[in-house]
Formats: sequence, structure tokens, C-alpha cells
Amino acid sequence: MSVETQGEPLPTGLKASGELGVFVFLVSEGLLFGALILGYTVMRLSPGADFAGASKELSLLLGTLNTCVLLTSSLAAALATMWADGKRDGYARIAILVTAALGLVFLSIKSYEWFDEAQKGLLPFRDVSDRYPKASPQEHREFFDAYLVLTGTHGLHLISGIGLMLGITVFWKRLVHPAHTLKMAALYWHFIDVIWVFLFPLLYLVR
Amino acid sequence: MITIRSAVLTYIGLIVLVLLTVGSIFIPLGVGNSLINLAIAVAKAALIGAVFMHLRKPLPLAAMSIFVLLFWLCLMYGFTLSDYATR
Amino acid sequence: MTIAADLPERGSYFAPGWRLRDWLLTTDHKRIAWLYMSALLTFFFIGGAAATLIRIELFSPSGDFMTDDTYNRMFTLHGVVMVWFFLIPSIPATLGNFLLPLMLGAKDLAFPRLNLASWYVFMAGALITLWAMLVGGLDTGWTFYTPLSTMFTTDNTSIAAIGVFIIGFSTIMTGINFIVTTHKLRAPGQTWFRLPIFVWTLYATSLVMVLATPVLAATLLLIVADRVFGIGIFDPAQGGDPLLFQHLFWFYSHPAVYIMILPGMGVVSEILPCFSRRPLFGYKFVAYSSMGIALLGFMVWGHHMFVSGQSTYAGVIFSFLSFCIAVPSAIKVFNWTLTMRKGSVTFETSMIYSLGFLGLFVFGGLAGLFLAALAEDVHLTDTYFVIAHFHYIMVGGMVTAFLAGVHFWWPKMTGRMYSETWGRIAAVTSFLGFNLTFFPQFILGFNGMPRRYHTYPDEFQVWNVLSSAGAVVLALGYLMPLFYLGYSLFKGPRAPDNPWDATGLEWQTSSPPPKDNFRTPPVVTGPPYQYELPEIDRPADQR
Repeated sequence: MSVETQGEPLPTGLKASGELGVFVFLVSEGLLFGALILGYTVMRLSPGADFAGASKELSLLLGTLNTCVLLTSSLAAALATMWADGKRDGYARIAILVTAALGLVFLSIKSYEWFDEAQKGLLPFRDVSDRYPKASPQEHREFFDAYLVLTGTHGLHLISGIGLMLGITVFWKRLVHPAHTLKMAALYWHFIDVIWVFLFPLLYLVR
Repeated sequence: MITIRSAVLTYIGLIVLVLLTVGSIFIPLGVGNSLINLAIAVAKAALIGAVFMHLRKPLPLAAMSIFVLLFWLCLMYGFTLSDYATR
Repeated sequence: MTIAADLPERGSYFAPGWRLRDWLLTTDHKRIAWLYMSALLTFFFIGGAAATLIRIELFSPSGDFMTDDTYNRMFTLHGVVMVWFFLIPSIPATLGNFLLPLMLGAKDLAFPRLNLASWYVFMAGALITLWAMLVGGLDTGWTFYTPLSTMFTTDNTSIAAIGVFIIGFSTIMTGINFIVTTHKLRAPGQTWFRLPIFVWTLYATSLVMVLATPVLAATLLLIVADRVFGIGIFDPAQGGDPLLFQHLFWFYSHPAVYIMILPGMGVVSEILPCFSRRPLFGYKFVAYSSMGIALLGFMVWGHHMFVSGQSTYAGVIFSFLSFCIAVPSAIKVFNWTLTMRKGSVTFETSMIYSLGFLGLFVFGGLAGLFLAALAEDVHLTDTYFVIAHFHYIMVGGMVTAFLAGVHFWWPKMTGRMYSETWGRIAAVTSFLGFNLTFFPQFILGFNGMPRRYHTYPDEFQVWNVLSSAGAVVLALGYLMPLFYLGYSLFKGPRAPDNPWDATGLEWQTSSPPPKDNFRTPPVVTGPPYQYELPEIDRPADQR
């Protein structure tokens, strides 16, 4: 087993190492989001917080739409790995593009939501709040603090995922094991989706 | 192995769950709403994990790492919230 | 470069080249270990310089050498540099990187390029943080407590926090690499219970790295968000809670101290059997207790918050668990001691350091029990008692173990022998200097001198003077190795493959090893630490 460290596509060794590595990484990411959600939980459970009230300011329609967009992108990613395993590289690469595209759609919708909320003075952007009407009641600030941090961190992860996916499809021919690399990136993508699956009810469905 | 069939079925199941979870908030159940929504979220995560992330027939180490994650989250939440609950 | 001509070149991992890019673009774990080593030693001496300035200031009761603000920045610099730039990566990134594949019988780590990336990420984060602290300063203490860090300080907190955030990524990358390597790249016959304890402790450390560091990342993220966007998560006026910061911070930082000590325990577990010529006593107990420390380490963080306003009931639970965590450490201490029983003990440099570790770690650990007791902690918290406690563990324990490991494996890593005489002198000097520096601090703390203050009542001066004097001796003890180890690189005698007659796969290859570690891949057929059997000093096929 010790001989197979670098570049050799043996049945165990390299490929299994890669997958285990990704899962260990996802555990660390799970704890990152877990800690942020813990912050959210503490604020929500604190007495006097009007979380339900604040959640109403979010657009349920856009949130639901975004959830469906991300789930669809996960479907595309899953199909991409399936086609890559079946050596249908052309289909796989198109599916990856669809995945990335849907990710961009998600980000666009999210950005629009943020823009809209900033205009209403809900988001705690220090510079921006002078230009827009003052924030609504103090309690809502807490909720939107958590909202900004959670969706912002999620968004940053999504950007990295989109970059990863685009990189894989564009540089497909230059990868040593494109199907394997795609599989690992897809695991990351699905994880980002799972995080959103939890953020959606926590943020949008509290009302 | 993922087949088109299993992927699409999973996808449909996920969308159905989304509609369910959104629909459920229109029935006022107090704390029950939150519990239902969280349960549905867990179900969706499980579906994505099991089918898309191949966790139905996983590498034993991959499955163990998920277990470790969940256990550690329980540690973090349990001990921290015990402080807030008893202050 | 003259150095190249003096290190055993033919066939060793130094052979491929000495150009800058052979080092900066290497994926060889052994070279990456040296990249880390040079960085870490530099940072250690920067942190040491800060400590020197602190001890100079504390020589006299009034704050005449530094202003209040400067002193705050000085102990913050000392803490941040020592914890994040030195102790957390120390043994894993240097000795661990070098030795893990060798001890497993592998060619390299599972992800060699990730390994190199981790060094660059580490350097980027460290330089950013260092810049923030030296240009402008950081005065929050290494603990970044709110509301000072979020609302009241005007120092470069955000930049420093981002720098530490980046270092965290490096830690996680190393952890992932070690975990996957240990699972997947063991040589044939190398079952889990034939692994050296050093591997077990690196594995436990890596688990802690992966599980704890992301929470630090989240915490620092929230601090930056608070300073930049005005997020009120830690601000009571906005419905937040400053204690939430402490929970999140210590959820990482307590396990972080186990990241710091576990590898040291592993090193000592390798050295004590070798120089007692006895197998490690209770191997499985030592292995399991390492994992136990990793697990329990996540359940005790509230003991940093006993007087913070945390619920008393939670405090009781954390106190109880803090007592419990002494048990696995004690198990190891007993096993180490029994390893030496009826052995033929010799006092090589690394053995002196290891024995020093044993005594100082026990002492510091016992002090920890005082602090774990809720009622006693009310008196002792935030005093010099705490400082003495953790310096006994981290300096008396960890730095000593680091030096022990560097000396033990120096012949393997460089192919050179150093002067044992000077090594022993340095080891004893640092041991004496350490005790003179930090034992008086227990007394100071018990008598009530608070930490992070640079002025104090006159009656404390005698102990402070002793401590500062000790610091001079300690510094001498730490500077000496630079000279004789450096000298050995040029003029030291060539080292044989196994100068200490030790067991373990790393000793079955040349000193220094070839690039791919083993000329023929090894096979393991027996348990480790086969010291007792005179005619079979190591498994037959590994001679």
C-alpha cells in the first residue's frame, strides 16, 4: 500500500484517499456552519427577541425559488458525476456548466434580496445605512445580523464551488482523473446544498 | 451508483418536501412548526446525502465522519445551551 | 551554497537540489518540514523577544519601561505568536511532517501538494497577523475578548483576526492530510496497534485540529463582521451576548491546548523506551488515552469561564469533566514511568529533555486541578497562577518535548550528529532556567498578583525579580541549541542509520532518508518498541 502515493490510479490508495479527504474537510465545514448556527440559536432563544417578526421581512417567494434552484443544481451535479463515470464526458461537462449556471442564478437572486433589504435599511451595513432609511425596530437588527452572516458565509462557499466547477469543466482535458476530481467537487457542492437546506427553514420559515 | 432514475426521483422528492415545508407554515402550530420544518430539513439532507453523496453504501470511514460531525455538534450545542438554559 | 556540500548528498532527499525553487516548490514532506522548521524557529524567537521585554518590564513594580498600551500589545504579541505561530503547528508541522510517512512506511503524505499549500497559507496568515501587531499593534490579548475586541479597541483587530483565520486553514489542511495518510498509507502489516505512539498522538491531534479550528474560524468571522458591519451578536445593547463569544472561542481554544500537548506526549513515548531499553509499558492504554484526551478535551471549555457569568450548574459540569480529563493524562504518566522500571537508563540529550517533560508536565497538570475546582478558581482565575500553570505545560511540557524530538531525530533528518556534551548542558540549563522563571509565578498568583498588569504592589517584587532572572537562564538554554545544532550541519560527524539503536521504521532507512523514504518498501511483522529482547532488537526483516 505504501507504494501508491502519487499519481497512480490504483483501486484503493489515491481515489479512496481523495474521497476520505473531502469528507474530513466537510466535517470541518459542518462545524464552521454549526458554530454560526449556534450563534443564531442563542439569539433566537434569548428572551425578548422578536425573531418571527423579523423573518416576515424576507421574501418567502424568492427564498423558496432559490431553494429549488440550488436543489436543481445538485441534480445537475449528480448527473454530471454519473455521466463522467460512464465516460460520457461531453454530457458531463455540459451538466457541470448547468450546475455552475444555476449557482450563479442563486447568487443573483440572493444579491437582489440583499439589495432590497439594504434599501429598506434592514441590513447592518454601516456605510450604507446613512443613505437608506433607518433600520426598523431594534429586535429586527439581531435577526438580520444573523441572516447576513449566515447567508454571506454560505454565499462565499457557493462562489468557491462555482469557481471549482467552472475550473473543472474548462480544464477537463488537462486533469489527470477528471471524473474523480469532479466527484470530489460534487461532494462539496452537495454539502453546500445541505447547508442551505437547513438555513432556509431557520431564516425564512420562522414566521 | 447513481442512475438517472434515482437522481430524478430524489429530486422530485426534494421538491415535494420543499413545497410541504413552505406549506406547513400556513398552519399555525407554534413550536410544532419549527419542529416539522427541522424534521423536513433533516429528511432533505438525508436524501441528498444518501443518493447524491453515495452515503447509502458508503466507505465506512465516510459514514463514520458524518457520525463524528453529528456527535460533535451535539457536544457544542448541548453544553453551550445548557449554560443559557440554566442561567 | 556551502551548506549543500556538507550534508550527505548522494541518494538523500537533499540530493535533488538546493535552488530556491527546489525548496519553495517542493512536495517532499521532508523538505516541507524544514520550511516549517525555519519559519517556526523564527517565530519562536520573536515571541521570545516579546517575553524578554515583558520580563524586563516586570523587573520593577512601577510601569517605567513601557506604557499601559505598549504592555498590552506586548503580551498580546507574545501570546498570538507563541500559540498560533509556534505551538499549534510545532511538532505536527515539523517532526510530524517529516516522520509520519516514514513511521508508516509510506513514500509521502496522502496529499503532498496540499502539504505545500498549507505552508504557504500558514506563512500568509502569520505575516499578515505579524504585520498587524507590529505596525499599529493589537492590545486585546491573544484571547480577543469582547467587547474590547469588537467595540472599544482601536487597534488592528480585524486584520489580525483575518490573519489568524487564514492560519486556521493551514491547521485544518495539515489535519486532513495526517488523518487520511494514517488511514490509507500504512505499510503492509502495519496494523493500528503496531503503530508507534507518536502516530497515535498525531492522529488524535489531527482529529482535534479538524473539529475545533472551524469554530475558531466562525468566531473570528463574527468579530470581523462586528467591527466592519456592526453586527451585534456579542453586544447586549443589541440583544447579543458577550459570553457567546467566550463559549465559541473556548470551544476551540481548549482543544487547541491539546493540539499543542498531544504530539509532545507522542515524542516522549518514543524517546523514553529507547533510552530505557524497555518496551513502552501499557501500549494500548497510552494509545486509547490519547484518543480519550482528544474527546474529553472538547467537553471542558467552560472552565475558562467560571467567573464570567456562566451558569453555576454548567460550571459544575465543566469542573467535574475537567477533573476527569486528568485521568487519561495520569494514565500516560504512570505508563511512562513504568516503562523506565528495571530498564538500563542512559541520559542522552533527548532523554534529559524527556525526563524534564515528565516532571514539569506532572507539576503543571496538578496545578490545573486547583484551577478546575470551581471555588478555588474564583480566587486563582486571571492571576499568575494560571500563567504558571499553562507555561509549565506549554513550555515545560511542549517546548521541552519539541527540543527532545528535534535532538532525537536530528541525525535522521540531517545525517549529522551534534555534540552530546553541549546538548546536555543546554537541556539542564533550560530546565533550571524554566523552574526559576515560572515557579515564583505560582507563588505570585496564589498571593493575588493579576495577569496582564505591568504594575504591581512592592511586596511582589522579589518573586518577579527571581522570575526575570530565570528568564535570562531560560533564554540562554534555548539559544544554545541554535549554535551547536547549526555547527553540526557543517562539522558534525556523519550519522549512521540508527545511532540510538531505536526501533521504528524511520530508523530502518538511511540518515538522511532518500527522497522516496525507503529503497525497498518495508513490511511490518511485529509490534513496536521491541527493546527488551537482546537478540532480536528489531523485527527480522527490518535489519
